Amino acid sequence: MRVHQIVPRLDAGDAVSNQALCIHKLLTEWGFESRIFANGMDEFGKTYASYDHHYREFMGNKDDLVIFHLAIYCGSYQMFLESRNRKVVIYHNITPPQFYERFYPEAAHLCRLGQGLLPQLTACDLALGDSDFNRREMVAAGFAEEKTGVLPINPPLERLDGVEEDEAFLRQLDDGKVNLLFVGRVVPNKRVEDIIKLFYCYHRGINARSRLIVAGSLLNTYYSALLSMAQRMGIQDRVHFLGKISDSRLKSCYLGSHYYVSMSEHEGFCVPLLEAFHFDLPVLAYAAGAVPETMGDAGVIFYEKDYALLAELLDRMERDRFMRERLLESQRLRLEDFDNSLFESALRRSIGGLLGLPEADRVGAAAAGGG
Amino acid sequence: MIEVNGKELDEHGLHAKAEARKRAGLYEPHMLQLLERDIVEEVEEHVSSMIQVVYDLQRALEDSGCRLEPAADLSSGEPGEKKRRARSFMRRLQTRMIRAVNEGYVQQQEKFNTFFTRTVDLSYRQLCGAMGGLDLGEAAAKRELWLSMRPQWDEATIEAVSGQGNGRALVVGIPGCGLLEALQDAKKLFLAVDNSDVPVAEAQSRFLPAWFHPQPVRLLSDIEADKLALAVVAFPECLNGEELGDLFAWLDQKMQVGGVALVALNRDSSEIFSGDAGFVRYWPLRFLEELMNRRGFKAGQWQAGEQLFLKGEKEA
Repeated sequence: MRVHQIVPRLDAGDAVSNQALCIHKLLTEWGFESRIFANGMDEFGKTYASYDHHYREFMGNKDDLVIFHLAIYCGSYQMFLESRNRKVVIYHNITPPQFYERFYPEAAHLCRLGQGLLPQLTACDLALGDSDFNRREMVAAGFAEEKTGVLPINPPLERLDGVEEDEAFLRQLDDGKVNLLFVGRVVPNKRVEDIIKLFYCYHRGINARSRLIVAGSLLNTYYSALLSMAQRMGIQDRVHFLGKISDSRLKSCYLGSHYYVSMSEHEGFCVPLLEAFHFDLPVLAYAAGAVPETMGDAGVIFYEKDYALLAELLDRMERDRFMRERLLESQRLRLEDFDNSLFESALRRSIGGLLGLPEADRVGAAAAGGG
Repeated sequence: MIEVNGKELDEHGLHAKAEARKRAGLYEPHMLQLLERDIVEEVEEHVSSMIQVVYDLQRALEDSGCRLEPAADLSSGEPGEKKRRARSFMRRLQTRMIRAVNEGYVQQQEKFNTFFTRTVDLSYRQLCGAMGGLDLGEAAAKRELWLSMRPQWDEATIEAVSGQGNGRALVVGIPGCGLLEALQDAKKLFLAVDNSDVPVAEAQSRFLPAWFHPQPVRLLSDIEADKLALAVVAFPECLNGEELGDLFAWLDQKMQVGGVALVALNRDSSEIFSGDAGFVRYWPLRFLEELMNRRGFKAGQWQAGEQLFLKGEKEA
């Protein structure tokens, strides 16, 4: 049997691409003929994927299975709709357009189109979200609940383990300052301005020997606004925007930082939280979207953005070694829920029935949970 | 509510501490107001308007039937393929152009500048190769450094320099955004030009008037500059003799009496400027003094912070 995956892009380091590759690897190991089709790809992606119009030659076969990853609007959904393959949708969530309206109307437009796409994909055999938050959105969009399930992301944590850290950069970070870290695209829904506000309170009110590191590609207009805000607060020389960085430097960021902070107001899963867990960074995250689900009963989750209060909490964690250690222990424990073998069994439970695998469960709302 | 390891945290102690810090004045009152400020307020109105206008244009084009995003691969193998590909190319060009503006002027300017610099660099290497006189590997590495390195000035230097001149200021070679921002705050900054795209992009991202050109002095002939009172030449090593001559000829015409020209004396300030292979030229002090004197500037050395300058005051 052949299994085809359609993704908007296949790029190195991208969460959706990583999940497609994980599925591809497992399907191949299970003896299936697996292919990935993408609308665009980088050099890394070219080693695994073909351009999506090549999928047309497989559309007519009723025995094949096609998995459509929805993360952003992509014209290849037409082929998915027309296909006679059995169909699976994996929904990675789409950022609500209002976050982009003022900074990047074109992205807002694409988000609106993407949101409009979700209800058009309901005629499928199986609908999976990579978190229950995403699964519930699918049900709200008209997917039959009994056909939905959760297939959590398999965070590629070992990817960074095999990378040499950037030692010169690590030495720069290891200068006695307390480093707060955020990793992710610098886009409005991540609310990087709120991280800057928290950092302002911590830096000005509690610990002047501190810095904020923001690692991720920059959306220019938003970035300019953030620079302007940091300057207005007088902390521009302590807030470091690194842009998109290499794995080597990313690893150094995790190794050289002391806390990971997320103020994001929309997340479909949020892989960097688990990367921070993996590198033993205490995580403080705002409870939005799938964040509480990803973190489970580990780390610090807050429901209000009281910056001065959170700065005090950072200070307490800095002083209270016992509290910090308990936090890290629970984070390590939570990571075990995302082990590779669990992903394999979750995938087997969720799509195994369609593939005719013996141990597959019936699909349902509780299927394939990640812990 | 704050949860630590899934359990609600008793926040009373933290609240008390935070309030005590506020009472002690550790957080300035106007800064506390900034914590309530929406990030959208940081985007200047004209920037928002530009983004919206371009977006509206794009939507209007699409609504009128322009297909702006063709499929990735249009090869069909049928007759007339070449013509279709050409049409597709034009559509893509249109798309990219609109996106270029839509994604933000500054970002694209940065990309364009980088591309342009690389092109100039390549031509230069080809020229050197044709002449057969230079080790291209070493030369390319040095040129890269020359193009990219712009040591930043310290705060004392910035403060002293931005206090000079009583009118508009021109900066040739950007020694960090600190100087430009200080001049902007003093409502003096007229224009900053540089032949390195990195500091220009950084300045543009902060909405400072900065422009890139591989030979920045050439830009000046097209510029009207009245009441120019300060000219700062931060990296004279990166200008050739003709450019320096043209710059001071231009300043002779444009600088008001009493205006100040500052030429940084960078020898030994950085190992980066090695001064050989024709990439970086450390101009003899006497040459610079003579250049200033001939163009009506009374020249003398001037120390500001950690930076030494040759300072020329325009005479009547």
